[in-house]
Amino acid sequence: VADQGNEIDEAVLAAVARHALHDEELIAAFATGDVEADADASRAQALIDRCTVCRDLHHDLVDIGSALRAAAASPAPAPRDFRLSVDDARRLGGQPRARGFLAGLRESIATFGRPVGATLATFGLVGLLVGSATLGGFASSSSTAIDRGGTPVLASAGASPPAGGFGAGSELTGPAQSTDVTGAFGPLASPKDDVAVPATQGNRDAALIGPSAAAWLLIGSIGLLVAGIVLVVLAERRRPGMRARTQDR
Amino acid sequence: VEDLRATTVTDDPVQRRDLILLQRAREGDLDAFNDLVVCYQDKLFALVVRMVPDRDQASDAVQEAFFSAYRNMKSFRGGSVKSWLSRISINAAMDAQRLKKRRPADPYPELEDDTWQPPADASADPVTSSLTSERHRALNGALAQITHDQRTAIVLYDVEGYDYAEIAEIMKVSVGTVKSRIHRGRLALRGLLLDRMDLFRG
Repeated sequence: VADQGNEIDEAVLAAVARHALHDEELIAAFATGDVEADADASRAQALIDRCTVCRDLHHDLVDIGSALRAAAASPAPAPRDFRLSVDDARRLGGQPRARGFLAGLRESIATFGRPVGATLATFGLVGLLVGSATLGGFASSSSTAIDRGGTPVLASAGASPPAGGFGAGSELTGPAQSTDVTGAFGPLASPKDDVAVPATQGNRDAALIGPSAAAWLLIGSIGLLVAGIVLVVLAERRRPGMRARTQDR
Repeated sequence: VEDLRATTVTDDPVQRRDLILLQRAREGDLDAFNDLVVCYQDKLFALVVRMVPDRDQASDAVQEAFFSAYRNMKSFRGGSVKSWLSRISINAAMDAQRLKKRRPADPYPELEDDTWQPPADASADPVTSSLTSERHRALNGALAQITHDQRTAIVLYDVEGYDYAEIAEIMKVSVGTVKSRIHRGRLALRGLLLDRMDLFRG
């Protein structure tokens, strides 16, 4: 048994002694994939095939390379906050300004631009419909009164559109009989609410709103619509930066 | 000041964000620059602490890198802001190493530093997590003991993924020297980790 042990030790020692003459840097280059010449690659491969120490070295170097690459996936959190103070920035020659009104506005647009813009655009659209309906109603009620020579005009809620009666003549029905334009937003009138409204009454209501008020409503609505669309577009243009920043954090 | 967004077209949202922030910083918006700092301070610290294993020195180097970036942001000429900041941090780390070389009294304390371990993968079992932490600690400890030239070359090549030409440019040496430093560095790491190689197998 002692002899067998000595034989193993001698074999190991012989292998180590042989390995002492081998080029370890060549094995390291081979493990990294940096051996370009065919002759060098063959020599490295021969060493790995014949020498157990070279083979182990090659395996270990490959494993260490893999561990190093894996280490890239584990960033260490910074032990402190490296943000610059205003004093730092001044000392470094900058002319820092605290985030001003314009920067705040840009940030606000990026954050709230879409909902606010969509709301403005919606109000603009509604105003546009109401204004055009009012003008149309004014014109049609006037013409009806003229055509029928004072015959009462039947304004039926069933004939008006379901969205609260923005159609022509709807301002003459149920709640919309009020002189206020906002009456057009009132609940739908039921068919039993059908009221025969004298043309003279319709003329009086339309006259109270007046074509000039309706025109102003139209102009204002167009303004709102345009402002809303512009706001949404601006918000969309500023969003990628904001989104990326949020993702990265 | 030329508009960075106009000169650099990119589809990468992160890069676009970086360019927008840098542009605003160049216009004097300190908060925009600090947003960039927040985005990259962990990544840059991880890079620098591998090159300068003393955490305090690494912190100082990262702070110096951000100062330098702020000072020189007007000279940024497009491309990746992340790469630009990495280059500045690498230079700051190399300066810190040179300083350490001139005053080598204190060895790097990273071997004993257990203040941070990589976060455990939620899907990994405790044995795997423990093995990963142990491997990470052993590797960092060995990296702290090889020469700083070898460490820099290995960190830039293996961890940060730079190619030989880029490393040669950063370290101001030839490509052959870079390769040699990487090979010798890996051999040195193997010598230091010989008793613990079972951690790295399979």
